[in-house]
Amino acid sequence: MLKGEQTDGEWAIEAENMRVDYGNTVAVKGLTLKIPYGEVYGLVGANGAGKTSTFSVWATLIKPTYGNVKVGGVDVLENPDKARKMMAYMPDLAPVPSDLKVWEFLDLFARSYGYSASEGKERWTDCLRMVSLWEKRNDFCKDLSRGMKQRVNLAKAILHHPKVIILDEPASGMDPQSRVQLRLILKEMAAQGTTVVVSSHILNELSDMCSSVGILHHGELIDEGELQEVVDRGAGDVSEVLILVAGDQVGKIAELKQCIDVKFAGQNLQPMMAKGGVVVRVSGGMDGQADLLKQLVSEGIEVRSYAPLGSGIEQRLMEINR
Amino acid sequence: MSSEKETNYSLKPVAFWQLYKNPLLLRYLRSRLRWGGLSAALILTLVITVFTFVISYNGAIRFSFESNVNAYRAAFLPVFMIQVIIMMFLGTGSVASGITQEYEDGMVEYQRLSPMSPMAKIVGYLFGLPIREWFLFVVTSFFIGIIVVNGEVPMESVWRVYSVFFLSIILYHLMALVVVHSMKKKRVAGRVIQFLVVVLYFVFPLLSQFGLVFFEYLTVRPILKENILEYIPEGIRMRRLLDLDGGASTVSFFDHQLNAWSFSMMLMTSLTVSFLFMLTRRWKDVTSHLMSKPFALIFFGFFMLFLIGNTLPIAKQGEMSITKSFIEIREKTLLDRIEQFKDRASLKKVYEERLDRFQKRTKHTQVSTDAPVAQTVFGAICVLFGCLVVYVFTPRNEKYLLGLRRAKNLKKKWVPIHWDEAPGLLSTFCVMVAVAVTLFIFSSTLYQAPTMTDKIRAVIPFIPVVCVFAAVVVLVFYLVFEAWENKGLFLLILFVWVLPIMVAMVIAVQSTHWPTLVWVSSVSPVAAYGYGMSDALVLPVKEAFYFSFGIQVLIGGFAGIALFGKKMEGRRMLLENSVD
Repeated sequence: MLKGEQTDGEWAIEAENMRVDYGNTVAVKGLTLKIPYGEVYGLVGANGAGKTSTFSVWATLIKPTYGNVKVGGVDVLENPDKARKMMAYMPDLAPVPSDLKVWEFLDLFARSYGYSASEGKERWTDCLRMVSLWEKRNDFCKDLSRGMKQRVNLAKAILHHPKVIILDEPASGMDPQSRVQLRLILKEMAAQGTTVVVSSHILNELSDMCSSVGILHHGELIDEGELQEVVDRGAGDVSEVLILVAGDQVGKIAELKQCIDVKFAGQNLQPMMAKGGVVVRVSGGMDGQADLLKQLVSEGIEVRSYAPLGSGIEQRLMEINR
Repeated sequence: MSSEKETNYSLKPVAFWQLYKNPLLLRYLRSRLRWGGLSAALILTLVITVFTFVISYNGAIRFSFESNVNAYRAAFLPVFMIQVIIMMFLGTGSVASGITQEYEDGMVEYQRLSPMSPMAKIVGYLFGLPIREWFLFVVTSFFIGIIVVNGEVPMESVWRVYSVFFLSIILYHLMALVVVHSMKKKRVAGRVIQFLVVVLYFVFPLLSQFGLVFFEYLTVRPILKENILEYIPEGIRMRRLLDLDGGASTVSFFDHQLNAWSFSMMLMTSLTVSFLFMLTRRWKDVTSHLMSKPFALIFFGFFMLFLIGNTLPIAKQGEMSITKSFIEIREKTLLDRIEQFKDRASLKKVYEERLDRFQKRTKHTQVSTDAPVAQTVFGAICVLFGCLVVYVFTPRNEKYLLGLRRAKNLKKKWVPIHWDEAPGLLSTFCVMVAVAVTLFIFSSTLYQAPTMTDKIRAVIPFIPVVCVFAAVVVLVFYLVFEAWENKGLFLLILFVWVLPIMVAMVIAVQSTHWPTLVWVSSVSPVAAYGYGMSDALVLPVKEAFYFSFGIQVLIGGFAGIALFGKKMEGRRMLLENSVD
């Protein structure tokens, strides 16, 4: 929380029985969720899970069919203008105007939020430096690369010190360096009390960034909580593990596969030679993975690396979609 | 973060009246007045304005032998026309294309997220988008200033003309914003606007020939006629543009005579306020209708009041006749020519002979024969405007289902009638009543005017039936639209409203079998409406009218059943799927 700042209500975002419909299609169904201040919250789900619809309601862009939604303690249906002062929203493929320079674009929004000319200039200067685009301030927005446009939009989003930042796929189009930078900026903002809600298809990034996640599936929130808890809850069944062995790679890998085929036939591990090693499907969650490692070592196999494939969230999502 | 101690929550976004610091206006001052883009437009405007000014001034001195003061006055209208073109045509185009571009860039969505009030956003776009045209307007105003000072045109007249002109600019620009905000295909909206400007400026004013002067006051012509005409020298040809219909420029409004300025201001202000309401609604909620049901009914009632307030005095005096207006204009033109060539005997004689022939040909023309035409035009306007309002407030099925879910969540059995999502039946009934009553008052007055013959008065007993018919047409429009939405409406308009008339026209040029023509065309309510008020005895017009009435009831019945089924299906689905 920023020093001396007053907050309305206990939660940064509160949604209660929120529903969004498009004709006969239910986009979000009875979403109930509370996100505390200072959290980096990841909302994950496959395409069409309802992430963007949820964000659009929170950002006051659309009205829910019904349900209550508060952002920063302010009811977005009752008082959208006040809610807008407290939040920022950056949509997927965030737009930029075709006829404005970078600084003009930021100045427009700084003034829209009520900053004077000098205060506004100070703010957009800070924000442009933060996203490393100060040198590009006199370029036309339309001439920037996609990743740069995303960064300009991020600068626009943080202009007014929002209490809540909602980012829909913020890293799309960004190069790796910019992604790292984005992650650092968001973590820094969260450390200062801003709540960041983010969705991304790059799930590894969410794992690195988020303290909590919620999983949306067909418009319903099927699980949420602290990141590790959610991952652990989902790790109950099957996961893929990559096993690497020491020594002559080609020969050893083939040997390992054969060994697993013969000696572990009863465990249905379905070994495959891939990714420079052998990939097996292990059931029994974390305990199952630990058991298998123990058995491999006891069989005398020189295991160089034993790693579950994909991030925790990624595995969880894949299980859900299966 | 360097300014982390700042908080934004005490910041106050600009109010709508703080135009000088409106961020959107500032945004367009930057983007639209860049020298690169502005220079060509500025040079072109200057060249055209200087050329027009010099030609008009010198032409008046050399060819019309006017005084210096009159020569300056002669240049007023041409330069003013340039301003009209800049602000009305180019400016309105800029507003439409600019807001379309904002939609395409995704900036409108971003603007929704800014905490400025909807009115501040509207004002910002309203004055920001056509900022280049405003700049060019100011440049041309320099020439108007020279003309006004040297031409000794009273400031009061100039003030009256420009106050109406400014209001009409705002009205047209707001209309552009309304159209683009309300149409799904934004690119098409730009063309619709251009079409609307042309129709409003050149086509609708022609309806004043029927006595429907209402539409003429959406242009600046009446105010120019009232305040500037007297200062334009007689010999200047452009003067005729203002003095086409001669006579006084006062407006009849029920039993009152208003001057053009008062009526224009009243009409345009009410439309401007209505458009602002519509846009505010849209900025608040992108999914809302342009007008709520109560507002739509008030708006429609207001329109009907203006329409009938204007036309009733003319109908009462029996002067509602396009033929009469045409005869008067033609006679006046010929008399002007005779006056113009009074010193050239041969030409004068030619025009005297023309006038004589024209008067002989038209001396038996009766105002009363025009009554059914005037009544049909009036009825068509009422019905079409009624249908437009119905179209605006009727929800699509998707929206209705949304409302039903919302209502159910609030433990309501039905969608409350004032919600956008509520079916439009009750409001449509109100529109129907307004259409029927207005039409009845107008028709009764028209046919009882002293200029009407007994023969034409014979149709008076049919007036109530025709008024009910007009109301039924609105009801059918509503039922078809709510039942089958745009596709159904397209089919209704094409196959029932338009195609029968086209087929009848083909029959008319192919044969002289008039009864067939009447029967075929009567499928269309447009033709049937005219037949209802026709006094032709040799043709089956009355039978055709009732035939058409039957068709309307039949279509309405089918649509009603389909609509009822659709609503029940929606409720059933909702009950089955409701797990919340």
